[in-house]
Amino acid sequence: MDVAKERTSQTDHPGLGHWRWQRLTAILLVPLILWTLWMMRSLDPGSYLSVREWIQQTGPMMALIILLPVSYLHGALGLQVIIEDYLSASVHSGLIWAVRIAAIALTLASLWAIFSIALA
Amino acid sequence: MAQFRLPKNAQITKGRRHNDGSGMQRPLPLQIYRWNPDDEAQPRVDDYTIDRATCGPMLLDALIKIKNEIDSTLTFRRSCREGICGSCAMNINGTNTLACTQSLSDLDTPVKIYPLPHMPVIKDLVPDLTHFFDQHASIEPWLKASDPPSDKERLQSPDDREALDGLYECILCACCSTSCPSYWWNSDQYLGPANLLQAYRWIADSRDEASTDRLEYLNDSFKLYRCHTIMNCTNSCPKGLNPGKAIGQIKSRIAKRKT
Repeated sequence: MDVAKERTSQTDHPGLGHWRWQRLTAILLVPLILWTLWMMRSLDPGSYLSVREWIQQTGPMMALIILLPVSYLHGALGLQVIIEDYLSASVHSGLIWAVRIAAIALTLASLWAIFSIALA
Repeated sequence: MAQFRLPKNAQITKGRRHNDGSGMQRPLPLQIYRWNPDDEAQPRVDDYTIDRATCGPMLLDALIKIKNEIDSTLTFRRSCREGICGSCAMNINGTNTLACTQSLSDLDTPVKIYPLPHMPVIKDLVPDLTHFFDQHASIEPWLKASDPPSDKERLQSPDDREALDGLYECILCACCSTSCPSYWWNSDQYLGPANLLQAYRWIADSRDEASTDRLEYLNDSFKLYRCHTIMNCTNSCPKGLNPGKAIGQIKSRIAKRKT
């Protein structure tokens, strides 16, 4: 492949958006995880009822509503890097879309679970 | 893409012992990778012993001594013997560096010498750098300015000139790029630390007027963003440069431009 002759072609995979979102979500996750852990002081993980009551409180509910989608987005961005680094280019697009759809599905499922507990 | 199976001619076998160092005042054993494209044999590691009492202080002196006195078939690149040309870059005791600036007294024995990692080998310690230099050409490493050339220099302030320190010294030896796992797996598209440092050398040049085009060209998830700040490049640079920092500065400039 003559790389030098490709110089004038426009890039097909701009990387700034991915790079920026990966760093933004990484930075967001630090306070979000600390905040959630701090609020988990009142949680008894051995009791189902205690977990339900914990999620029904405004603080933990808000923390989970923000933390879980941000975690899934960060995970999807990280998996995209692994796919691009280690797998054949022929499977990149399919696998990356599968990861994105899985992240969206997990987000919707998590929000549905949180709201159904909170509004019960 | 990562390769999980060894390609043909990648199984290294035990080679010949050319001499045993008997009668030498200060014997120094070396194990050197050998591969000849003209035969069907697998690569091998040959053992040599030289007498440091009659050898120069650097590893390149030892290689030249072997070629002159023990085995004239040993093949390696060398030219300036003072760390300027980058020809004698190789993997010495597990680290990519220049044979001409590597002191023998700093090396554990036996000294293990291989070609630069993850590059096609032409013969023995000579890697094929064609693709590496094609990539270098792709970053268009020359000054681009709208002013027509004149007989006078293009002037810079001392501060603008200082911005090129740590960049212009790169000798394109490929030690950094061939120590980078991202370059090992994706060198077909990722430009690698050496070429990205070279690209930043022109982006940072106050006289160059094509920085917008250069940044647009580099804003690519494969050309630039395969760098995951592993920093092997900075650790291995025999000139003490910091390609990782230059890559970070390219990313920063792209981010600022798009904000």
